[in-house]
Parts: sequence; structure tokens; C-alpha cells
Amino acid sequence: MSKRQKAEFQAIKAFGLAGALAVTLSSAATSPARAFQDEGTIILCSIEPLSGIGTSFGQPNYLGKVIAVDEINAEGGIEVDGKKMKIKLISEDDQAKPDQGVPLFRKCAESDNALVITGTQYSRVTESMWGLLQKKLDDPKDGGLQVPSMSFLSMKAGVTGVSEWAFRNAGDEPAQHELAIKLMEERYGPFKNYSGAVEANEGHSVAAWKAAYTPALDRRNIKATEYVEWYETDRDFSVQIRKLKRANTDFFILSSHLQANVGAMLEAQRQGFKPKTIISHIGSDAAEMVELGKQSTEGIVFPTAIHMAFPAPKVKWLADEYKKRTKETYMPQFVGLGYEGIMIVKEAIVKAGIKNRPETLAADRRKVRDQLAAIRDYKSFAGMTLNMNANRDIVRPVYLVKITGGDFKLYWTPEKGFLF
Amino acid sequence: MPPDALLSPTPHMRGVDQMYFFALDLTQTTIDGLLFGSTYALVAIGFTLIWGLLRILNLAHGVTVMVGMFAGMLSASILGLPFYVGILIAMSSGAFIGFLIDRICYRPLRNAHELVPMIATLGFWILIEEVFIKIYSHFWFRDYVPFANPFDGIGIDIGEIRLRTDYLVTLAVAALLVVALYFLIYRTRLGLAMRMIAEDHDIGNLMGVPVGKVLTIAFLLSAAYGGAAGYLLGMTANLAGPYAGSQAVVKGLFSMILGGAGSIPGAIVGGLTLGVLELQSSFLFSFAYRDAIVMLALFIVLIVRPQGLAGKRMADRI
Repeated sequence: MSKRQKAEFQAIKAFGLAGALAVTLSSAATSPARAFQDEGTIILCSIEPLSGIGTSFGQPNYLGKVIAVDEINAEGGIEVDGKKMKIKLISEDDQAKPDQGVPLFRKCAESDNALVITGTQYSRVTESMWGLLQKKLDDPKDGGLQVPSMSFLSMKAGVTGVSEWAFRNAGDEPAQHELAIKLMEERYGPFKNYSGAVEANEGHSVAAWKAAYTPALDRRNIKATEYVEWYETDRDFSVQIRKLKRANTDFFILSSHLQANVGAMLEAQRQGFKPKTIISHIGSDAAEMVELGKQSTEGIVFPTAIHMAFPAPKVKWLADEYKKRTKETYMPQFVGLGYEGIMIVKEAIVKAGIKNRPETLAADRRKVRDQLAAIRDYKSFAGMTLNMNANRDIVRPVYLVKITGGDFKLYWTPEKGFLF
Repeated sequence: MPPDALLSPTPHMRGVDQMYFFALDLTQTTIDGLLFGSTYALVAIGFTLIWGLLRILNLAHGVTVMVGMFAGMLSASILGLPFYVGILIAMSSGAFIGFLIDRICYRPLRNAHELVPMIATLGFWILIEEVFIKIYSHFWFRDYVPFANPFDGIGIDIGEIRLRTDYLVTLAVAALLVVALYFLIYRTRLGLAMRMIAEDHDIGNLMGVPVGKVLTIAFLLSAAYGGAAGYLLGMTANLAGPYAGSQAVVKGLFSMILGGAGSIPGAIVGGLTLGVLELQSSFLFSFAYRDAIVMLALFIVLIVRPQGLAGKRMADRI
């Protein structure tokens, strides 16, 4: 072996050793957190996409949770068994990948011994993670995980049907879109040609088209004049936009997320495709829509659960806190849903009367689960009253947002109707 | 043709109009596909250079695309530098990554089985992408960042066919880089050395060719082309994202195999064909079958011409 080869061999060896050390350290960092429960900490897990595809949804949602946890802990924590206990929020990044989310979910349940697992955001990941849960309560033949889990975002219709341990605080999407279509028809109709574009590799977008938009069109005896698909990673949308334009689309349903929406709308602008109305879903609620899309995304309308323009003082406080922590100028609804979700979980924990000891973990989880299922007339920080329905979906009012003047403006509320 | 007629919904068109619009859209889609495919060709050339010389798949090539895209984004969107400066910065950044790939994944392992450096490039790709995503997510609170496109919204109209200026610029840059590569390979001593090494490393050594240095230059060159492709992909999409490398690997490898592994004309033909196939399958059939149609085309080509569309049956290295 020459001197040079020896040096290279040494370099590789050192690299290998460094890798082994890194693996050891990371294993140590993710070792079971059981001790925390004995130290007076309530463990909650938070799984969302914090990097890669989905960052726009995951990061704001996570920050909303962190703000809530900080607030609860600043007040001394939650009273459990006569003692104040602080919340320990364990954060995991699923990168919007089901194969990453599933082991993280298992880790949260089995190694971290989380009382509740919150997350995740992308329906395809949530559905895969919840596949680990016991499907029916008290089924002795089902050895699935028994830990309450609540997603504050996954929009795919019926996603909580996977397990009776699964809950969601994201709204009733079919009802949201029915309302959006109805209101737009009343204001700008009649329309001649309804067309749709679907992000074909994204479970939520496909489900929204099939379970929300298509039934809404069926109820009107309307068949989509044109239907096109694309992927979130696509960069050329010329064919799809041309087809929509040729179809003389005047009511455009954009069942797609910002990753593709921006490119598609820029192409629409290039081709001069400007329908009278464009409605979209929660996937459009991201700053990129206006920052990257600029003029091309003007006029898009989508439903929202919580908006920073709500009059409740706590919403303004949350928006200010979010802006202070991130330097962002716009607070998407995921922040509010994250914050609100943790507060809902807190109330369930308080009402459940848990012991928070290692030996009572299974019983504590069940008590919290039952409290989540029983949520009635919960007063949200945003001002509305929330209820859990039989499908374990929180029922909440719908509001509409419109992209106007390079910003997201609250456009319609149940109380005041159209605001502009 | 009155402008309003261009907006006639398909179901209400008369037969003649339908034929007219069909032909118009078919032509436009073909042109868009060719222009867009030129970026695929650039990525494929990067793969081809290394495959032709070393017979290894440099799976880390996507990293050069990603780094080129972000270097371009920083130069165009943040520093506001002109297009041609940005391209040079992107190519230089890509070349730096190429240097690392050579030093980490190839040089220390050049005597190992050919699968070993390939796996090393796979590891390098995953490692760098993961690290980059973490850094990116720390600095940018979002999936994508804007990439300034000075040619956006500008186009040349030939009748009712529109040529996007940014696509034309992409084609022009790709063509210029291909001509430069041809000149280098067939008109310079370095190119002669590369061709010799492509045939046999040992003969090159015996003839006094500094094989190690030439291969390093090949890595730099291949990666610089990846960097240029990254810039152009980001510019035409108006955005930069950390997963650009992974997407480029798939498209680039496909283009190389379709056109003919190890053949530069093959990489060009493969890239352009892929661009047209993708758009035409969406137009003529459905987007839902786009990837299936493209894969079917690849299978058919490989069965009929295992050497690819433009590859030679034997010894078709550079």
C-alpha cells in the first residue's frame, strides 16, 4: 500500500469512525424518555414535516404548538393528581414521508411513552401512522397501539376512520367546499364551465376532488368540462393550462397544494388563462402563494379555520408572537390550529384526572382519549365554539380567505357575510 | 381566426375548429417539450461523461444540480447578478461539488469493484441532500424560495405558436455547452486524453496520460454541466427547492439510457425525447398515464435498440 493510499485509507477509517460516533450519539439522544414522567413532566409528541416538502405546513403548525406549550408551562403547567406538571413536547420531523412517519409514531408511543401524539400534517403520512393504532376500542384481538393521536391538519375526508384512537381538528372539508362553491356562485355566477386540477400524487388533493368537489358538482348536475392532473414536483404545466383554457373554464377548482399551484398559476398567467373564479383548499394557505406566485395567484379563494384577521384579541396576540419568533409577515391557519390543538389536549388531560405515572400510562391514555371523544361546546381562543362529532372530527365554522393585493384577506365570515 | 374563437370550449367546437386547435396544440406541445427537454439533456450529459470514462453511475450528480440551482438563486434573487454571471457561478459551484465527489467517492475507491464507488456516490447524495435540507429549513421557513427569472413572461410569437424566451435561453445555453464540450473532446489534447481513457485506463497510463488528473477534470466538467442545468431548471420554474437533485437524477438517468449510455449525442436525444414524451403523453392521452407511457417507451426502445436511440452497439464511449 502506497503512502497516499494509506492516507486515503486512514481518511476513510476516520470518516467511518465519525459516522459510528454520530450514530451512537443520535441513539443516545433518542433513548426512552420514561424518566420524565417520574420527574413531573407530561410528555406529548409532535410529528410534522419540519424540513423538505411540507415545511410550509409543518413548521407553522409546530410553532403554534410550541407557543401553546410555552404559555401553559409559563403558568406552571397542568394540575395532575394535585401537583402542577409541565408539558414536555418531543418534536419529530417526518419530512412528509410515510416511511419516516411510521417509525417515528411507534417511537413516540413505545419509547417516549407519550401521553398523546399530535400530528401529522400530510394525510398520506397520518393515515400510514394511524395504521399502527388499534382499530376498534377494547378489541382483544387487535394488538395495535393504544395511544390517543390528534392531527391538527390532515384534510383527507374520513381519515379518522382508521382508528377509534384517532382525532382531527381540521374541519369538515366537503362542507367547506360546498359552501365555497355556493357562495361564489351566488356572488359571481352563473358559470358555464367548471373545471378541476388535481395534484395526483397527494392523497388530500385526490380525496378532496373525489369526496368534496365531485359530489358538490354532482349535486348541481354538473360534469367537469375539463379535468387535469399534475404532481407536486412538476415544473411544466403548459399542457394542463392549455387544456383548461381551451375548455373556456370560468369556474376553476384548484385541488392542489402550493408546491404545484405556484408553477401552474404562473403558467396560467403566461397563457392568459384567467377564469372568473378560482377556489382552492387549505394547501393554498402558505406565504409562497403570494411571494412566488405574485400576480398570478390573485383572486384565489379558499376556506380557513382560523385567520389572523379574526377580532379575538388572543388571535392577534398569537399572530404577533408567531411573527416575533419567525420574522414572517403572515400567519397561516396551521399556527392557530396547532395552538388550539394543544389547548384542547390540555383541557382533555385536566378533565381526564390522570395519574401520569409509568404504571398508569395505559389507563391515562384511555382516559384522555375518552375526554377528547367527549369534547362539547369547547370555547376556542379564536372565539368560536367547537364540538367533536361521532367520526372524531372537530366540527367548526368555515371562513373564506381571498388572495387580494398580494396578501391573504379574510373574505367571508358566517356572521358578516362577504367583507369586500 | 378571431381571438374569441381561441377560447371556444372543446365540446362546442365544430369539426374544422377542433382539427385546427388539435394541430396547433400538438405543435405547441412538441416545441415546449423540446425546449424543456434541453435541461434534461444537460443533466444527462453530466451522467454520460462519467459513465463514458469510468463506467460508474455517478448518483451524486443530482447534488451538483441542487447546488447549482441554489448558487444561481442566490446570485439572481439575492445578489441580483445578471444571468450570464449567475450561470458561471452555478457552474463553478457545481464543479466544486464534482471535485468533492471525485476526492471522496471515486479516488479512494478506484481500485475497488465498480459497484463500490457507485454506492459511495449514492451515500454522498443522500448525506449531502439531508444535510442541505436541514440547513435550508433552518434559513428558509418554506418549501421553495423565489428564483428571479429575467425572461419570465416574455415570448416570441410565430403565428399562434408561442416560444417562451426562458425556454429558448435554456436551449441556447444547452446548445452552447454541448458545442463547447464537443470542441474540448475532439479538438484538444485533453479531449484526446479523455477519449483514450474512455477506451482503456491502462493504455492511457502507458501512453503517459495523467489518468487521475484527467478524471478529476471530467468530474469537474460533468458537475459544472449539472450546475448549469440546476440554474436553468430553477430559473424556468421561478423557484428553487432542496429536492431538485433527486428529481434531476431520475430524469437525467432516464435521458441517458433512452438516448444511449455513454453517448453525448445520445444524452441530447434522450433529454429532448423525454421532454416531448412527457408533455405529449399528457396532451394526447392523460397526465394520469404520463410516467407509464414514458416508461413503456423506454422499454420498447431498449428492446428494439438496446444501445439507446443514438448509442452505438459496441464501445460507444465518449
